[in-house]
Amino acid sequence: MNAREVAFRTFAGEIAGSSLEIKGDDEAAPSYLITPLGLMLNRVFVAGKLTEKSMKGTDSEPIWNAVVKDVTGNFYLQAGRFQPEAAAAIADIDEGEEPYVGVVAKIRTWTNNEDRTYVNLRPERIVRIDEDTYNAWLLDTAKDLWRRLNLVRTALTFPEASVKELQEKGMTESEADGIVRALDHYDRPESQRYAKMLQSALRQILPGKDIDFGLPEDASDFRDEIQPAPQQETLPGSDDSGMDAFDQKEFILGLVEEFDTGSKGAPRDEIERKASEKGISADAVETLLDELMNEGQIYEPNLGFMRKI
Amino acid sequence: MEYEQLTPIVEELTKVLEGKASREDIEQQVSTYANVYRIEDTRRIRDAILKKYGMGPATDVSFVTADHVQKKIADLLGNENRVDILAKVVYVEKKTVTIKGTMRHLLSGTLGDETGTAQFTVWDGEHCELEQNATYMFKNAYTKKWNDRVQINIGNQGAISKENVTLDVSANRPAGQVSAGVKMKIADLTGSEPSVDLEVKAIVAERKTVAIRGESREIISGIVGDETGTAQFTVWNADGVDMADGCCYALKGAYTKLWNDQVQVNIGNRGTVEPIDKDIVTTSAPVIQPKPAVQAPGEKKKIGELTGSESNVDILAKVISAEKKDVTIKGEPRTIISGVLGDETGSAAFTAWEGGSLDMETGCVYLVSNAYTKLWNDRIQINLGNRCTVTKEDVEISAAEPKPIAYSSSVAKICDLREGIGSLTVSGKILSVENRTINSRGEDKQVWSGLIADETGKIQFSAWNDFGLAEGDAVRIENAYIRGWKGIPQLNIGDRSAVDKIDDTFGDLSAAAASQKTVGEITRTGGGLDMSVTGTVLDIRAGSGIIKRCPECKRSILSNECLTHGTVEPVADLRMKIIIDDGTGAMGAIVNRDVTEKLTGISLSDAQEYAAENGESSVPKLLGERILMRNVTFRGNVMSDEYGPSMIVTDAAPEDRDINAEAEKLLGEVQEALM
Ligand SMILES: [Zn+2]
Repeated sequence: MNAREVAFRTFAGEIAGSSLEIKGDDEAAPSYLITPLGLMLNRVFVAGKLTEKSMKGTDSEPIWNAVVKDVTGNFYLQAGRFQPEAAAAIADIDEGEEPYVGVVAKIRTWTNNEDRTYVNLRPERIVRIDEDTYNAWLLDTAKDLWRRLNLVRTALTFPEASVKELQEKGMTESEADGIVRALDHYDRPESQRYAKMLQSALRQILPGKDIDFGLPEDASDFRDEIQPAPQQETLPGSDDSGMDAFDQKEFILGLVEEFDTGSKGAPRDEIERKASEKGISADAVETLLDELMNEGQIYEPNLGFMRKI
Repeated sequence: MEYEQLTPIVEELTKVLEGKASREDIEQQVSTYANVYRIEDTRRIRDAILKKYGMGPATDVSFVTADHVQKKIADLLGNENRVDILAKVVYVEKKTVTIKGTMRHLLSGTLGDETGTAQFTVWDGEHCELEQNATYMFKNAYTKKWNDRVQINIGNQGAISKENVTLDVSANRPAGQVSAGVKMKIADLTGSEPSVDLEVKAIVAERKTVAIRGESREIISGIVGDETGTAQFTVWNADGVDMADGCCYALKGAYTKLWNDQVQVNIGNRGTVEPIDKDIVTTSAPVIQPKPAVQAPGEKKKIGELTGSESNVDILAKVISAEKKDVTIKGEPRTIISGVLGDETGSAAFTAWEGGSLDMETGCVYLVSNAYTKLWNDRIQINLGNRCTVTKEDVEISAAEPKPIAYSSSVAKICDLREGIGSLTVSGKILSVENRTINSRGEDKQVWSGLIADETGKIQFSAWNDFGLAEGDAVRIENAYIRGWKGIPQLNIGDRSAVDKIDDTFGDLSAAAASQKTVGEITRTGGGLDMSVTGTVLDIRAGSGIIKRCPECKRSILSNECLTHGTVEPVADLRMKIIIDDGTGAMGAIVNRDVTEKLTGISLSDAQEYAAENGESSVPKLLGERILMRNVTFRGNVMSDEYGPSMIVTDAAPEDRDINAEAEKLLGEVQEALM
């Protein structure tokens, strides 16, 4: 049967974490992006605020790019000559007001030479919607996400679940197939990430409710945004060498190796002298040598002489 | 919940949270948990509120991932949400970083225990001091994987306490993928171990390339053995794994499955293979030790309840008759026992396919476990296969008269009927019936056809005999069968069917709600009459808008030419061809003028006016703006073809839903699971 592909309601955050793509055997067969929760995406139904748009291409063959933001992240849209109605619709929308839009789109992915997968959406339909319609989408999407989390939980009760075992648990074949492939590729999903998406959606739908799942809002969630601090504070072992403690330790370890030319080991005072040229104080060198010893990386074969293990 | 029930915890919390929250605040929060999140257990409400003030037990968000457990460093997988780790601080330093523009003080360094070491970060480093070389218990830590190394994080849910123990830190590999399994011997494997460690000799190890879900993959498979037995094994990802015949290996984190009653050892993503310097003496020949299957108990049923489709059923029954026979099955001689089993609800024929090793005495009672059943000429057959066990029971059963069950057709509701089902029993009420004469193979034949309904739906029926059916009759039809027409199932009442009048418990069904289905369900069943589905309108397709129809035959025409009626004066009409998608499936729908006008608020004359100004091709866009992305409940008849199901809509209305109430219900469910 050539039934139309379902448009799955999906948050931007779930799509953003997806990198597994399966291609059909021949040109005509559909391909799918599989999310860490096992959703097999070919077409999606998404919604959010249209915050940016830009036109490339020519006036007669415009290519419109747009960014649509839901409560969990951004969707990146591109509509060109094969999506004429959607391209025309994007052209008509005033992004300055950041209006809510509903989008039906096909998934497109590409992988760069660093093996990172990018996903963008080729919209088939995009229309302005009101906030109630957006909230209805949020609710349906949150419900579907919650259902998937529970399906994954069921799948994780098996050591390595098969499609058949999951179908016996009441999943449809494509649900079961998607989850088996997802667990194989991504391993277990991080439930906190998805619980936070549910929290964001419910906070938007029920703004008066002060919803708090008590999830840790940890800095490590923003690891990509962590920057080294400006060097205005003097930290132990940081001095003014311009190196952080890890670099300094590597440097000292290098010196131990470099000066270990005789039979006794690398002389401590040589190491201190060389380190002071780099702005590392004698105290800091002492601390670093102690740490290297405690870590089992060096030892002191003779008093005042160091050697790498 | 009643206010009185909540008073004790309000009081308790007011005391405990003195200075942090007022009684009014607490009352309000307690009432929210009780009445909005609908949490009935007051202890859980108390814990939830304490947690908000940083005083209760920490949230366990590990409902999907690993359980809250204490682990050794080498066992960490990098996805623990809540894990306790006892470890020595091998190295620690303070760090200052900016996160989203804010300065933060962190502690980071290396933790170790006797199994390995891993990097760690304490994210609130301002209020924490760690001594190098001291041992601490890190509670409620979480782990992540970063560049293939596990990182231990102590966030704001974590707690650190110094422990007065000494730990030898292993210089071993940093924490990685491998989780330790249970150490076992091959003969003890049951085929259901999730994670097991084995020391084995590879008796045969063969590297192969196989296609797994369309991807080609290298695997190693063969036979491994130890002192106790041998088993087949498969390494599912042979990258970087080398196994040679006759060499010994430690298989860690393997899982086992049963295949044809034999145990198979699998090394999947979470397992490893390492060569070991040992010689393991295996049993001389690679004999597979068959392990009895650990069979889940079947569903317990009485004979009268059997439907003929049980795959695993337990029956306590008396042998009414039994006979051993020697037969040939696939060229092999075999002894089977066949006869009749009975209990107080009925009797049925049985066959024990492994009859050589079995005795079943007439008049004795047996518990037959893990049997399966089939329908054969409308009769139930109980089959005792090789998974089946038969135990003599010392109980009395008065078996029903040893008469074969006349037929046992499965009982179904109308909404469950689909093409190809035979031998079923349906109860319903006749909504309409008419008698026609049709010509079948040159013979005139009478047929009574009409509509029958139950509380779940309606279906067309055709009766090929005069059963005296009349409008308004409530009937039970036994041994009917289903034939489909364009995906719409039709109930056939044939020569072997029986029709009985029953008490009318259906009430007035003519105006009853249509059978409510998801698109996914409709796709699987094919179609039906008067169905109802709620979904989002995700596309409006070509052929929508203002169309022209022939005034004679009402068919849509492109110009003024009807194929049948020649040049005509066309009549304008409005319709939509749309896609309804509810997330479980997608189907087409054709919406007529009345329903289109009602749904969009745009009448045919509005559309014509708009078309006069903007061109006819702009009408679909106008309609689309009113209906796309909206949730709508549609009612109509559904047919299927190779492009899936499609509905001829008879009525539609915007979905009637209370978003806030549904959101609160979901909130309650999630809260419940997280607590
Ligand atoms: Zn005509």
